[in-house]
Amino acid sequence: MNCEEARNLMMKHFDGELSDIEFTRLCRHTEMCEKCGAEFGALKEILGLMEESGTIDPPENFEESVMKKIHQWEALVKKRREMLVTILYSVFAVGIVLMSLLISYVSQNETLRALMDNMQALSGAVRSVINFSAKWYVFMSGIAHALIQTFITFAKTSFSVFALVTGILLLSYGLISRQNGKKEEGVG
Amino acid sequence: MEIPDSDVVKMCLNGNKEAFSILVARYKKLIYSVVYNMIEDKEEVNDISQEVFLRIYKSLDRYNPEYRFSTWSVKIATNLCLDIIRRKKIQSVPIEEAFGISSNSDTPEESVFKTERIREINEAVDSLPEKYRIPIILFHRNGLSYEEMTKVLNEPMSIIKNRLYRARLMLREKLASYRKEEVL
Repeated sequence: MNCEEARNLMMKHFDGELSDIEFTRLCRHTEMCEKCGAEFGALKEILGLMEESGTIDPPENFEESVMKKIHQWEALVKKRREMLVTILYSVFAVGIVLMSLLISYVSQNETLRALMDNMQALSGAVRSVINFSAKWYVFMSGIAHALIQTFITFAKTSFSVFALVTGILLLSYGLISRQNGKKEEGVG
Repeated sequence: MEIPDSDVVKMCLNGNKEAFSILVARYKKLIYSVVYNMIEDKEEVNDISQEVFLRIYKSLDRYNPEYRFSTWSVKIATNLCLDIIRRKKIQSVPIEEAFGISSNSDTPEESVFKTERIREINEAVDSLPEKYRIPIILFHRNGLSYEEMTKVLNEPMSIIKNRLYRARLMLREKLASYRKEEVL
């Protein structure tokens, strides 16, 4: 065994994963190799002392302190929740009162009443425009969808005819574009 | 027969808040040790350990019973300690200041030597870079397994093993250099 292998076995030993056979091999090497022997001895001492001093007992009243802290936190959360509910109710109540005052003022004021009526009419008109636009959009998208579906079905079922028709259409388009180009040159 | 941790968690989530004291009693030593080994003075350790349990309590609805409760709670403790260390740059405490570490079988001279040796080891551990210091503390002081450490540190096992191996060698080299300085 060389020193590098011995070092790997040392690490396995401190991991608690060394088999008896491997431990015997490691001990044999450390007995013969002074450097590895010193290293293994030093690591055993250092890590052993670390493990010995690892666990600490908490104070006797630790559990009580923890539960007290938890109860305090829960009481604080409850208080904050109650405060938030109170604030929301207050805002809501104030809002209702203000709204009532505003409505009563508006209903008594001629100019404001006329303005409210116009605003109502305007919102009705806007709603009609939106409805019409939505219906027009649905109609156009339906037609587009139908055309695309027809196209796809035609391509799938009669591909050769589809290819022929597409070719004729492209050729016609090319011829027509060329004719238009010649006319423009003649005019120019 | 002991109630499983997951059942105690369910009891707490169903409204039996006092059941949490069962978990506190079971894991207070583990959590206190983890915090103690990573943070400075006694008062801070006590407060921080209590804060860890409060965080655990607040996060009970996020506990996954597939994992061990000890691993999950150590992860919360480690994360909190790391946050505090990075914010306040608190150093680990020399261990001999807090609790007696000498065994009854040590002579007074052996006891003094042991205390001094542990002080040196502690100093050397504190001087390690964080990514090496944390694994060696969790493994050799807090007794976590590699599997638990992968969950606590959110790193692959191969990386943790490499860092732990490296940490052991760095510690050995540092302590060897202390010895040389003492001789000189």
